[in-house]
Amino acid sequence: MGPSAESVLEVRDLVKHFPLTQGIVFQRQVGAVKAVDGVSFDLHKGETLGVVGESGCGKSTLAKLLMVLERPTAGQVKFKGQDIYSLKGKAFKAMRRNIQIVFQDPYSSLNPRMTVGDIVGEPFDIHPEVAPRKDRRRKVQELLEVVGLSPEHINRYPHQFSGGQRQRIGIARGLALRPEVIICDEPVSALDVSVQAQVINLFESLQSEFDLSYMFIAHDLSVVRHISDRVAVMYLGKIVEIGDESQIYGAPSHPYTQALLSAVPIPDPAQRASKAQIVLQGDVPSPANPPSGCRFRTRCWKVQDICSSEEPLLTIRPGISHPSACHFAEQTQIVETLTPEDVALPPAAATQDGLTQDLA
Amino acid sequence: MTAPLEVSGSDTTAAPEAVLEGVATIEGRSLGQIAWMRLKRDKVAIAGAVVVVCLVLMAVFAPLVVRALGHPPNEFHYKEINPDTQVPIGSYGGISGDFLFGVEPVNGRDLFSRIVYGSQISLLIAFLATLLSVVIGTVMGVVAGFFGGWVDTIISRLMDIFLAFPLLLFAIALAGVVPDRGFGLSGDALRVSLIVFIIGFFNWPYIGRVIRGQTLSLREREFVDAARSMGARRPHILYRELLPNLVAPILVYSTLLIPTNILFEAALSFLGVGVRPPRSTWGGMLSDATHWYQVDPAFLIPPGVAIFVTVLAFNLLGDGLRDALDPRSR
Amino acid sequence: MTLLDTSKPGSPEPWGTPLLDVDNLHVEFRTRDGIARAVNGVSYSLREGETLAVLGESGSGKSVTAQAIMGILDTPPGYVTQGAVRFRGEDLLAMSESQRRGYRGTNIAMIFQDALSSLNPVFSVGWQIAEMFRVHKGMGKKAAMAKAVELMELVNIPAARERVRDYPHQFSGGMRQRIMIAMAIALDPDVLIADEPTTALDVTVQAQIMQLLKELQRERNMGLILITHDLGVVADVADRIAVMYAGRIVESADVHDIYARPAHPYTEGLLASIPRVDMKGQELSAIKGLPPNLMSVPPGCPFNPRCPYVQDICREKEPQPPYQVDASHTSACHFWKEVRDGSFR
Repeated sequence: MGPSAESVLEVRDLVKHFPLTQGIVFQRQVGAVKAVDGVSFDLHKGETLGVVGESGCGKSTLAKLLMVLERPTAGQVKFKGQDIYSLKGKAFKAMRRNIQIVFQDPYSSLNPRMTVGDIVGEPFDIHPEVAPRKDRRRKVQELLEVVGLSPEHINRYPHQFSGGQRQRIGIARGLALRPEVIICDEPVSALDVSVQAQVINLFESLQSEFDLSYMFIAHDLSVVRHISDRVAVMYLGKIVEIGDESQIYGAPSHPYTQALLSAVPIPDPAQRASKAQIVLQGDVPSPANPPSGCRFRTRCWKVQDICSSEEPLLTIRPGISHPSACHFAEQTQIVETLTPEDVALPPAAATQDGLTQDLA
Repeated sequence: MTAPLEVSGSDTTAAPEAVLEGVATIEGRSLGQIAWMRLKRDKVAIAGAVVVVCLVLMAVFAPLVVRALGHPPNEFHYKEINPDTQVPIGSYGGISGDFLFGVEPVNGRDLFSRIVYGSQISLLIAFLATLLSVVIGTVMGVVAGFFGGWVDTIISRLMDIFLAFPLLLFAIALAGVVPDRGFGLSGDALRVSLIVFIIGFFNWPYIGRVIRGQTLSLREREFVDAARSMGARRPHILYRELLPNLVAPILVYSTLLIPTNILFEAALSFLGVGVRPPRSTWGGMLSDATHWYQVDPAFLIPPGVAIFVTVLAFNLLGDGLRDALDPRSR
Repeated sequence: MTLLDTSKPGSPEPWGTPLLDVDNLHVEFRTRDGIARAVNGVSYSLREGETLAVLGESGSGKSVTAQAIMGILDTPPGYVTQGAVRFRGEDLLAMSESQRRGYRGTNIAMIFQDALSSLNPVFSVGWQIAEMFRVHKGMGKKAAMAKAVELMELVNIPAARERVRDYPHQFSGGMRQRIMIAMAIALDPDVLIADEPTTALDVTVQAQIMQLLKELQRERNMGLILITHDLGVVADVADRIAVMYAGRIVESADVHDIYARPAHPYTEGLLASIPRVDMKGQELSAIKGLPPNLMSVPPGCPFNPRCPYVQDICREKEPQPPYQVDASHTSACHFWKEVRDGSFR
C-alpha cells in the first residue's frame, strides 16, 4: 500500500526550549537550549517520513515531543485532528496506543530484569483492554514470530540476544498495541552493517503488512534515502528543507542539504574522482545561542547581509519544487541517482571479465 | 493474524499448549541465575559466605553451642585463677580442653562462651542497624532520584546534614544520658534498640546516595521512556522498571554495610556506651583485655580475632556479590 | 571499469622490506567464561604512503589486531599467542617493553574512536600535545608549547594560539579528534593507525577529518591503517582493503578490485546489504544470521552458517591460508572463483 495524502500527524509550530538554570538551592533561569524551534510538517498515512540532521539538530527531542515524553513549550501536534497535548485521562491513554516508538540503543531500551515475554507483553499490562490475560502469551509469541524471532525465546532475557535481535524485540513491543504511527529514533545506527539490512527490510515488510506510518529519524542519509518516501532536513532546531525523497536527494536546494549530501561517502571507489565535495567549515553553533537570521549562515558559503537580518522561511521558492528555508535556494544535483542496474555487474559481463582475467 | 472468535471445544486450546511444550525446553537464564553461577565459582566469596553462615548459626544456637563446648557465660571459675596475681593459672590465658579460649582474669569466666554470646549482640545490632539504614536510604534515594526537582534538592541537602553529624560523639553523649527504661523497654532490649537507632538512623545517607545515583541513571535509560510512552503510570515504572534493577546494588551495599556496623558497635562497646555488662560483647571484652595486656596480651586475641574474621568474611562476601552481580565494575 | 587502472597509488612492490608487516598474528582473551580467539592468523603488510583499510564488524578482531601491533593490549585477559609484527624488519613482539616504548609514538602512532576519553580531562590540550615533545624529545616547556601551537594550526584548529590552554571538554567532538591527530603525528611517525576515527562524528565533520588525514598522510608519506566498519569511508580513501571476519582476514585486495569483483561471499554480502545515498529502489539483500561467538567458532570456514553458497567442504576444511586470486588479491573462500565470476547467482 502506497502513501496517501491523508495526514495522520499534523505538527504545527512545535517549540521546545529547555531552560538553563544556575544555582544549587535557589535556581534561576539564565537562558534556554532551543532544541526544537518552530517545526511544522505532516505525516501522511502509510508513508515514511525521514528526518535527517546532525547531532544537536533537535531530531531526538522532536521524537520525544511526539511521544509526549516531553511537553512542548509551544505549538501543537494533531493525531487525526485531535491535539495530543490537550487530551487528558482515558482519551490520552487511548491516543498513546496509536503512536509507538522504537529506540536507538537496543541495550538500554530493554529492561535487563524482564524476560522477552514480559517486555513484549508489557504494553498489554498497561492497556489490559487490548488483550485478555489468557490471550497474552499467544499474542506475544505471535509478535515474536512477526519480527522474525522464535516464539520459544519468550522466557529468555535480553542479554541472551545480539544487538539486532534485541532491536527486533523492541520492534515487537512497539507493534503490540497495533499503532498507526511508529517513531523510529535511529533504530539501525547501533547495529552492525550486516545486521542493519535485516532490520531495515523488517521495517519495510511490517509497514506494508500493518499499514504503518513511520517517522524515521536517522543521521545516516543513505539509510534514510532507502526507506523514506519524503525527507525533512533539520538544522539547529528547524527544518531547512522538506520534500519527496527524489527532490531532496536529486535536487537539493538548501546549502546545508547540499553539503550534507556531498559529505556522504559512497561505497564505490570508481566514483571517487567524479564526486565534488563541499567541506563545511567549523562546527554547529550551540542551540542555546543560535545565530540571528538564518541559522546556517555561520557555515554557509553563500552568506550575504540579508542572511543575518532576516530569517528565511520554509516555503516554496521560485524555481524550487519543494519548500526550502534559504534566501538563495538553488536546485543543484549533488549525487547522481543511479539505479541498481547501473552498478551491479550483470553476471554475463562478470564472467566475461573473469575469462579475460584468466587468459591474461 | 489473531483469532478474535472464541470457539468452544478442545481445538482452540490445543495450539497454545503445543507451543508451551516447546517453551519448557528453552529456558531463559536471568541475571540473578547468572550471578549465582558466577558467585559459586568465586572461591573467596564462597569462603566468606560459609564463615558468615557459621557465625549466624553460632549466634542463633549460642545456648546449644555453649552447653556442648563451654560453661555459662557469667559463671565464675575462681579455681582457674591464681588468687595472688588474679590471672589464670594455666598458660596462654588458661586454655585447656575445658576452656577452649581460656578464662578471663579476676573472675575466671569462660572466654569461649563469652565470644559465642558476644556474636549475638554484634550480629543482631549490625543486622538491624543495616536494615534500618537500607530501608530509610532506599526510600529516600528512590524518592529523590525518581521525583527529582525540589524533592531531590531537599533530600540531598538532608543527606549532607546527616553526613556532617559527629556521629561517634553524639552516640557517646546520647548513650550516656538515656535512662535504663523508656519506650516500654528496659535493660538490654532498650540498649540494643538505642544503638540500632543511632547506627542505623545516621548511616542511611551512605546507601541513600548510592540508590539515588542508581535511580537517576536508570530513569534516563530508554526502557523507562518506552514504558512511559506506552502510558505507564508512576507506580508501574517504579515497581516494574526501577526496583528490580535496584535489588542488586541494595544487596551489595547492605552486605558491605554490615561489617562497618559491626565495627561501630564494637567501638561503642569498647568505649563503654554499648550494651551494658554483664552481657558480653566483643568490644567490651576487648576493652577489658586492655587492662591486662601488660600481664598477658593473650586476652586480646579472642575478641580481636572474632571481630576481624567476621568483618573480613562479610567484606569478602560483599565484594564477591558485587563482582557477580555487575561484572563491569571490575 | 578497467582492470588495469594505472592511476591508483601504491602499486604493489613484491620486493623490498615493507614498512609494517603483520605475520600470522594470533590473539586470545582468557576470560572466566572461556577462551575467546579474537585474532586467528592475521597477516598484512603496509608500505610507505599507503592506506590500508581493515574492514570488519564489531568482534571481527580488527581493533584487537591494532592493539596488538601497538602493544597496548590489556594483558590479562588478552594474550598474543603466536605471530610477529615487524616494523622495517624488526619484530616488535620479540622486544622488551622498554625497547618497544621507543617505537610507540615515534614510529607507530594511533588515534581512537572516542577522543574525549582518550584525552586527559585535567590537563590543557596544549600541555598534552607538548608532553609528547617533552617526554620523547626532552624539549623545554616553552619550546614544547610552541610546537603544540604549531601542530594545532597544522590540524586546522582555529585560533590555536588562544585555545592551546583550553581543556578537552571545551572542544567539540571534531576538534577533539583533530587534537588527537595532532598528538599522534607530533613525533612524525611512519605508521598511523586510526581506529574508527570518525564513527562518533557527524557526517560533515567526518568529511573534514578524513580530508585532514589524507592531507597529512600525503605530506608526510605515512603508512595509514584505517580500521572501520564503514564501506563508504573505505571506498573514498583506501588503497588496499583487508576484510576481517571472526578474527581472520577473509579477503584482501586493491580497493577497486574488491568493490567491483569481490571474491568472498562475506564481502559480496556486505556490499549488497548497504543502502547507498546515490541509489533508490535498491533491494537490500541482508546477510542472514549473526557473526559467530568467538568462543565457539564453527568448524571449517567460519562464515559457513551464513553463506548462501555453502557446500560440504566449507563445513569441514577451513580455507586457510587464503587462495591467491591474483598478485594482489587473496580470498579465504574455497569457491572464490565462482563468487568472483558470479556463476553462483
